[in-house]
Amino acid sequence: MKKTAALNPGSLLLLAGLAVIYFILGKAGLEFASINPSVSAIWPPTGFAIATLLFFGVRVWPIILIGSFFVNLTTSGMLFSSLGIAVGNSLEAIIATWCIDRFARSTRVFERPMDVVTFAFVAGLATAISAAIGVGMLISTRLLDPALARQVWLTWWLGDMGGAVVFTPVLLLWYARPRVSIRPLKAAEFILLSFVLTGIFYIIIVRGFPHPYLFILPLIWSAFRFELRETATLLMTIMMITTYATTHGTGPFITHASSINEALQQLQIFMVIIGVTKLTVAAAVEDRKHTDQTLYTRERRFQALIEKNTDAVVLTDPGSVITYASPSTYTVLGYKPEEVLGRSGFSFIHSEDVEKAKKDLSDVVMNPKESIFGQYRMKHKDGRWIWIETIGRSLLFDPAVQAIVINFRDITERKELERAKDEFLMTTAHQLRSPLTAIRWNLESIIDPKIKLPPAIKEKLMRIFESNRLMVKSVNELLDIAHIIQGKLPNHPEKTDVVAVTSTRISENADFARRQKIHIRLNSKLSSVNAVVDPKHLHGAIENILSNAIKYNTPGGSVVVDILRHPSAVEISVTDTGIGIPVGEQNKLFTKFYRTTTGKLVDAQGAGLGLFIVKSYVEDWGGIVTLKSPVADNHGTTISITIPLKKEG
Amino acid sequence: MKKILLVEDDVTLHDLYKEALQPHDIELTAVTTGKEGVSLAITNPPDMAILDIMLPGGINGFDVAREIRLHPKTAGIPILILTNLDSERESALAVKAEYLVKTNTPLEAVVQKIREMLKIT
Repeated sequence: MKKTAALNPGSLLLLAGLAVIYFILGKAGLEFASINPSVSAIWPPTGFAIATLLFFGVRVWPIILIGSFFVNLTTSGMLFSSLGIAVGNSLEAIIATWCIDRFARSTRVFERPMDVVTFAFVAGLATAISAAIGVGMLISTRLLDPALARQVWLTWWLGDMGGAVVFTPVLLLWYARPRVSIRPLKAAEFILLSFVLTGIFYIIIVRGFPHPYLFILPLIWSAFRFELRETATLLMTIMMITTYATTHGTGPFITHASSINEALQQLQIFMVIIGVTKLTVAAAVEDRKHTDQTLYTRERRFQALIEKNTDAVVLTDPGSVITYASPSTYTVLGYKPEEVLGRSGFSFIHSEDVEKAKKDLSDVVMNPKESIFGQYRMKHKDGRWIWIETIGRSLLFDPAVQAIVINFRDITERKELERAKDEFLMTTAHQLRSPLTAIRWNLESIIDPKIKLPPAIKEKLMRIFESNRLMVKSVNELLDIAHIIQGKLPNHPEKTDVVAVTSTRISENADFARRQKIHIRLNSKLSSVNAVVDPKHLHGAIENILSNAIKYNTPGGSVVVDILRHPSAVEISVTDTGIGIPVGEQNKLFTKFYRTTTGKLVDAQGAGLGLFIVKSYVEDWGGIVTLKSPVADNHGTTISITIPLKKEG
Repeated sequence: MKKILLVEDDVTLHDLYKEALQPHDIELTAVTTGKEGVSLAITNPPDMAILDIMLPGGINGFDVAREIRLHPKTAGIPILILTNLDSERESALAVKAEYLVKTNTPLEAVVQKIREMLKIT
């Protein structure tokens, strides 16, 4: 990852430090200059410049310009040529870095063989340009005899390229992974490798053995047995020692060369070639190690996910024959995986559920992109029936799987709790109804107009009667909810006149509205619209919306009911001038037991069941309930029920 | 005078029924269990039966209704299932019985229904 820190005093200091390092490396490199004071066959600053720009971003190129400028100014004393060479050196690093960023995964360039090859190519190209600019500068400022141009360019190019190939990897790799973990065996191996390398140095440099390719041996060893950075370091060590030897007149490169410069050129060519080769091999080894590690980790992770999961997984063929079962099959069904292999999945399913299971399996096969859920009773090995939830998905066309994958889990407990909860709700509701009936009928028998009672007592009895009515309504709603949850809502659709039902509800609520000082009216001129719905549910739904519209209104307000006949639907809308519903709460309005914050302020008795039931009814008819609030000026709510009109028949 | 058999475990309702039906010249015999209901229906066949569904003792209202339908003397009498369960309408149809949910029906409407079923004008 590239660091793109802001330019604070700390980072300025860092940049200055980097420029100084560049300067020192440059000066050290020029120690080897022989053909021209400004041109060296060994030029580590190129490697340093590319590594620096890769780390800190191309935008820090001025440090290369400054560093290089001072290296040359202090060498030749010529302002213009120093600047020119500095431009060349900066350009070289910028081009190389840009290309590596763009084509070779930036700082991770040495991790894949192809990237290493790209790096070598880019380094070769960029340094050729830099060398050309530099040589041009020297000639134009008369610091170089044009006759020597080709020779100097070659020296420059090879020096820079050697610097890039040998030094960039060392800096990059150590910067990326500075930590050394010492394991005894590895350390011993490294010491042995060092001995072998020392031996080769001795044979080649001291004893004059004329075959420098012997260096390939320890490099191969390192590439296969150690990390990339060790191999790169080894390469740098070989380069530094052989360079030192060559400049001191010994070693295999000096023997056949006519000058030190020529020997250093040969050394550079040699280093570049074995450098690129070794780095490529090391990257291939690293890449492979990395892939193996990734695969291993991934496989372990998936294995753990499947084997330690409480959910079980089986693979089956399209005919439900089990071809794989995960170990947790034992946890769920009591069978060891090998006990179910080759058996049909259906053989564990309750005979009443097998039809459903067969249908679900064929759905899975027919819809390869979908996960199909199912719930069946299955026989546990110990003989009891348990509820299983399955999620099936076809991977028949996935060449690596070629099976149907079925996840399954035990949901017996959940089923049991659901059943217990619903039963509790039903029983409670029924138990409440009996005393409510007794209260209701007793009251009805005494508030008979024929029976004379003192008005004060009659008034109180009426209040008890009203409370009883409210409670009956609440219990009925609770029961409806329980039925809706169980999917057992009694539903008897028949041809029902929507207009007539709405009118009845309005006139039945007229008294309530008058007491609340609300004006209620029907806006529609339709005489009748027939829909096929359960009339009781339609009465209930409209009653619910109307009584809410009256209850949560403001005194002196109005409730306007409208019925609209659409081409294939009828819409009943109820608009009030009430307290409105906060926008953030509108989508929760249709859930069970939800009451709006504004609603709680007005009436403490609402149970919050109403709209949930309305919605369940309406959706049962294939219709929708919509809500608009505020209607205007932050007040009022419109609730609309849209019921599809079925064609005759 | 018409005779009605009432099987209802909530005894507080027994008197209410009696009072409400008396003016219409109907005599009501009330028992609280299905077992009593069945034996009474056989020994003293009524003109009509009113049955609750949830009854103590293991015999529910539908069991009583089926017994009544099986017995020749009572097979054709009108039966009214008067209960607080509202999910059993279909089962009532199966024993050719009418069905009302108690809490949701005014006592006056229950009386009206009984008169209709007994064809009292």
